[in-house]
Amino acid sequence: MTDPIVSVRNLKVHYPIGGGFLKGKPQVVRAVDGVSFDILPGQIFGLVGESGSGKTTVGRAILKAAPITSGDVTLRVGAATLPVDQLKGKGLKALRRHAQMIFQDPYASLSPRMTVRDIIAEPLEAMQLTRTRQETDRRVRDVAEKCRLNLEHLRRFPHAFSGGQRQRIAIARALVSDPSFLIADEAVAALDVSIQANILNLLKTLQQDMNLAFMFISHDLSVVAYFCDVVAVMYLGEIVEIAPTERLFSQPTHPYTQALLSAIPPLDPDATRNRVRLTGEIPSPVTPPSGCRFHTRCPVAQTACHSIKPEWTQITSNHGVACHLVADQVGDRSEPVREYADR
Amino acid sequence: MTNTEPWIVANTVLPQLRKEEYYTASQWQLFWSRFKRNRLAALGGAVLSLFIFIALFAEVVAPYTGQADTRNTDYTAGPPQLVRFCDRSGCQLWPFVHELTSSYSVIDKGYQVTVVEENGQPLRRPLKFFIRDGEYRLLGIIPSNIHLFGVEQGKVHLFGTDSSGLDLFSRVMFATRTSLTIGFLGVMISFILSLLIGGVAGYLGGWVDAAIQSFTDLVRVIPPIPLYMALTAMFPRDWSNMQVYFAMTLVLGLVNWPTLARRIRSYLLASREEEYVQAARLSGASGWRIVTRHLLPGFASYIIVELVINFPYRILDETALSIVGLGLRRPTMSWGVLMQEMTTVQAIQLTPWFFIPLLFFVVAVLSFTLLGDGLRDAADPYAGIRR
Amino acid sequence: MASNPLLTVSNLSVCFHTDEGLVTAVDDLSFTLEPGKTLGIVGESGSGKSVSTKALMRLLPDYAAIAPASRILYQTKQGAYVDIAQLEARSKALNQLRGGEIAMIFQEPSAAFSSLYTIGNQMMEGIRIHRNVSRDQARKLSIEMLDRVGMTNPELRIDQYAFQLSGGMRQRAMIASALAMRPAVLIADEPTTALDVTIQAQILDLLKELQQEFGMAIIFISHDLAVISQIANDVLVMYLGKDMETGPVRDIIRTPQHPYTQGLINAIPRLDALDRPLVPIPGDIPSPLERPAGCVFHTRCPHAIDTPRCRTVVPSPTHTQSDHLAACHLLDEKVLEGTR
Repeated sequence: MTDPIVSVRNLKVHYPIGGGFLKGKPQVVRAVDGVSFDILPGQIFGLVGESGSGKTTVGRAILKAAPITSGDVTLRVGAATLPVDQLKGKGLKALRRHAQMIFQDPYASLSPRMTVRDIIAEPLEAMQLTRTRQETDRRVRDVAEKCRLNLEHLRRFPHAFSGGQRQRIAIARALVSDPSFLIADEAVAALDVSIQANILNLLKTLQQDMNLAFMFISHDLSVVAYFCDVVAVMYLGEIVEIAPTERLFSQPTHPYTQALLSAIPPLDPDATRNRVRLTGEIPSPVTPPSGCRFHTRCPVAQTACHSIKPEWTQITSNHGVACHLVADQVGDRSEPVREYADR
Repeated sequence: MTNTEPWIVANTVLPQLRKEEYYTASQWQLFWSRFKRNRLAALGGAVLSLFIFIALFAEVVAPYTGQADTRNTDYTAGPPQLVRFCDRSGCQLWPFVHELTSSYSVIDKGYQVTVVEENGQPLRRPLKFFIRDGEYRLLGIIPSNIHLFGVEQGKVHLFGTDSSGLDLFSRVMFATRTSLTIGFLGVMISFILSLLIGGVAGYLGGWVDAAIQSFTDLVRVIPPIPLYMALTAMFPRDWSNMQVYFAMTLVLGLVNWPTLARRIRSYLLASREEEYVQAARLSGASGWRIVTRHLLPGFASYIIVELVINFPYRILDETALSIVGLGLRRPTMSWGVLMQEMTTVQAIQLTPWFFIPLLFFVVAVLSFTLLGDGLRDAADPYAGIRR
Repeated sequence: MASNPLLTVSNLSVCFHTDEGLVTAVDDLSFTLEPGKTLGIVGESGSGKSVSTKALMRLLPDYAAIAPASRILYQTKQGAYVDIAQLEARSKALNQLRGGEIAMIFQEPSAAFSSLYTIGNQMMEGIRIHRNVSRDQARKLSIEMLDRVGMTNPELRIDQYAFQLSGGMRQRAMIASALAMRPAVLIADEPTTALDVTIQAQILDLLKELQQEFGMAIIFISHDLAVISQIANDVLVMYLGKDMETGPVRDIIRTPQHPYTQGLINAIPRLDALDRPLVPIPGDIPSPLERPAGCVFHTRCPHAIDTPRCRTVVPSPTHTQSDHLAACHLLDEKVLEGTR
C-alpha cells in the first residue's frame, strides 16, 4: 500500500469563546475533538457533516489556518514529511506551496480590487516562486487555460464574472503553485445546479491530470457520493464513520450516517424509502453530550451509549465506525437504506 | 403575450465596448462613475471647490486685508452696498456702488446711512476688476497687489462693515481660509493618530487590541466640551495668533481620534476574516503584503469618506469654541470669531448683515455632508454589483 | 381541470431600475394556484422566482416596477376577487391581504423576527391585526401554534427572542407565526436552504402535515428540484424571469419536455444513479443586463444551434398534455407533427 500524503492523528482544535481581558474564564468550543484519518496520493477524500460538525475546522487545521490544540498532522512532499502542527517560517512556505484551498463563496474569496491575473499570480508572487514577470505570466496563462478561463479576460476585475467563472478563477489560484494536495471547502455549495456540475467535472479532470489528492468538504451527500473515493462522516467534532464511497452509501453502518442518507430528498417523489427520522438538533460543541455524542438524537441508543464512549471498530480493512451497536449491525447489514444500492 | 411595452424594449444589450470598459474598470473607476451620478453630492463638491478656491486665494478675492489699518472710519457698522447699474441720475452699463457714510444717531438709536453727493448727484464708484490695490503676499509667499475687484477711490463693502468699520466681505474670505485649514489640519492629525492606533489594534488583535481599546474608551468617555475648554484654557494669554491657531488644530486632533480609530480597528478586524484575506494568507502572503496589497486598497476609499464626513464636525468644534471665546480671538479671522460678533441683540436688531458668516458656515457644513454622503454611497463596493 | 383557482397570475412582468440600466427580473409570467395545493417554483439565481412571489405580496423595493399589463387575480376568503397588481401601495386592502390572506416565510428566519421583541410579541401583534381577539386569546393562540409546529416548551419559547433559538427552531417559529393568521396561501421562499438535511427533512414533513390540517395552498420556492419534488403537486420551472415549463411534479421529473428542465435534471448528482456522468448545462447564466433575445435559453440550449427562430422569436407555452406546458420552439414543431 502506498504511503498517505496527508495523515491526521488525534487532531483536536479547541477555541476559547466569550473570555478576554477582565471578562472571566472563557468557555471552550471543542470544534474538533480527536480526529484521525489518512488521505492517499491521488485520492479524493470526502468529509461530510452538518453545520457545527467541525468539518471546516479540520480542513483549516490541516493548512494551519486554524490553531491546532493537539494531535499530529503531516503532509508528505516527495520524500520529505512536513509536520504541519509544528511548522514555522520556511516550512510553512513549503506547506502553502504544496497544499492549497478553494473556498465556498467565490464572491468573497477574490480581492475585488485586483485583476484576475493578479489574483491568480498571488501565490507565485507572495512566495516568490518565479524569477521573472514573464515566467509568472506564463504560469498564470497555463493554469488559466487548464481551468477553462478565457485568456482575454485576465485583465478584468472579479466583478465582471459570474459565480461559476469566479470559482474557476479561485481554482486557478489554488493550482498555480502546482500543489499536490487541495482542500475544497464547500466549493460548489454556493453555485447554481447547472454550474455546479460544470465545476465538479472540471475538478475531476484536473484531479486526474495532475494526480492531485483532494479533501472535499461538503454538507451535500449527493455531491460527495458523486465526487469522492472515500467518505468520512463527522458529527460534533468527531468522525463517526469512514468507508469507500460505494460501501458507505450502500451499507451505512452508523445510525447517524443512515439518518443523514435517508434525509436526502430523492429526485423522484415516489421513491420508496425507509425514513430514519432524527429528532432534535445538533448539540452545542461547548458542552457535548457524554458517552457517544450522538446518543441524544440516536433512534437506537442504549444505556451504554449515554456514558461510554464508543470504540473505533474496523468492520473491514477500509470501513471503520464508532458505534456500540456495530457488532449487532454487522449481522443484518443496515436494511433501512437498501434502495440506494439497488436501482 | 407580447412584450411591446417600451420599458422592456428599452432593456437593450449594452454595446460591446462599454461592457469591456466596465469589466476592466478598477474599483476607483467604478467609484467615480457611481459618484458622478449623485447630483447633490456633485453640487456639494462644486460648492466646496469654490470654498477651497477662496481659502487658497483669499488675498486675491478680498479687496482688503481685513486688518485694523483698512478700517473705513466713515462707514462703521455700515450695511452691504448694493451693486448698481442705475440710480436716480440715470443708468450705465458698467456696475458701480454709491459712496456711503454711516453715523450713529442717538435720537433714533440706530445707524444713519447717507449717500455722499457730488454736484447734487449721488457719488458713483465704478467697480474695477483685477485692480491693483493694497500690497500682499499670496499665502505669505508670492508678493502681489492684484485684487479680484475693488474701487479706485473710496471703498467697496459688498457685505457691509463691522462695528469698527472693517470690510466684512474681506474678513469672511480670510475666515474661510482659517476655518477650513484648521478643520483640515485637525482632521489630518486625528487621522494619523487613529490610523496608527486603530491600525495596530485592528491588525494585531488579541491583548494589544484589548489594551488599546481600553485606552481609547478612556479618552472617549471624557465629554468633549469640558475637555476642549480645559485644553484651550491652558493656552497662555500671551501666545501669538499663530501659536493659538496651531494649538487649536492639535487640540481638535487629540480630542477626536478615538471615533475614527475605532472605525479603522473594526474595519480591519472584519476584513481580516474576509475570505479573500484568508485566501491571501493561504497563498503565502506575509502580514505586510496582506495589509498593503489586499487591505489598504479597499480601505483607501473608506478612509477618504470618513475624513470628509468628519471634516464639518471639526469646523463646528472650532466655531463653537471661538464663539464662546475659548478658541481663536480677534484679530484672527475665523467663522467662529466673526460669529462671536453677531451674538448680541444689537446685531439682530440693527446690523443683520453680521450674520453673513453664519451663512457661509452653514453652506460649508451642508456641502461637506452632501459630499460625504455621496462618497460613502459610491464607496460601497457592492452597490449595484450583482451578488 | 380544477374549477376555481385561488390565485391566477397572468402576464406578470417586473423590472428593476439599477445603476447599470433597466433589468427585467420577471418577464410575462403566468401561472395558477389551486386551493390546498402546492406549487413548486424552481429556478437558479436570476430566474426571478423570488421576485415574482414578492410581487404577489407587493413587497418589491421602490426601484422595481410591475408592468401595467400584469394581472394577479386573487380570490379572498370572502369570495371576492382582487387584482393585487392594481392595488394602491400602502392601501388598507393590501395590508389585509398580507399576512391575513397570503403569508410568507423566508430562507433566513432571523430576517423575519426583530431582535427587540420576543417571538410571542410579534406573533400576537400579527394575530391581533388580522383577527379580532383579546391579548390573552392571542397569547393562547400563539402558544397553541408554537406547540403545533413542534416547538418544545411553547409556554417558555413564546417569551424568548429569535436569536436565542437554533436555526431549525427559528424556522418553526416563523412557520407558526405565518400560520397563526390562518392564511389561504403560504409563500415559502427557500425555507430549508439554510438548514441541514436532517432538519430540512423535519421542516418539509411539518409543512406537509400543516397543509393537510389547515388546508392552505403553498407556493414553495427552491433552487433544489429534489426538495420541490418532495412537497409540490405542480412545478413551475423558471429561467431568467421566464416560465420554461409547468406541469404536475411527476411529469416534470420523469418526462421533462423543455431542454432546460432536461439539462437541470441531468446536472443533479443522484444517489440512485451514481455511475451516470454529470452533464452540465453548457455556458453560464447570462447577466441580467444581457438578456438574450428570442428564447432566453438559446445561448445554452444544445438544440438551438442552427435554429434562427430560437434566437429571434420568443416561444410561447405549448400544451404537451392537458396540464403540462412548455415554452420551446422545438415542441411547437413536435406538436404540429403530432396533429398532422
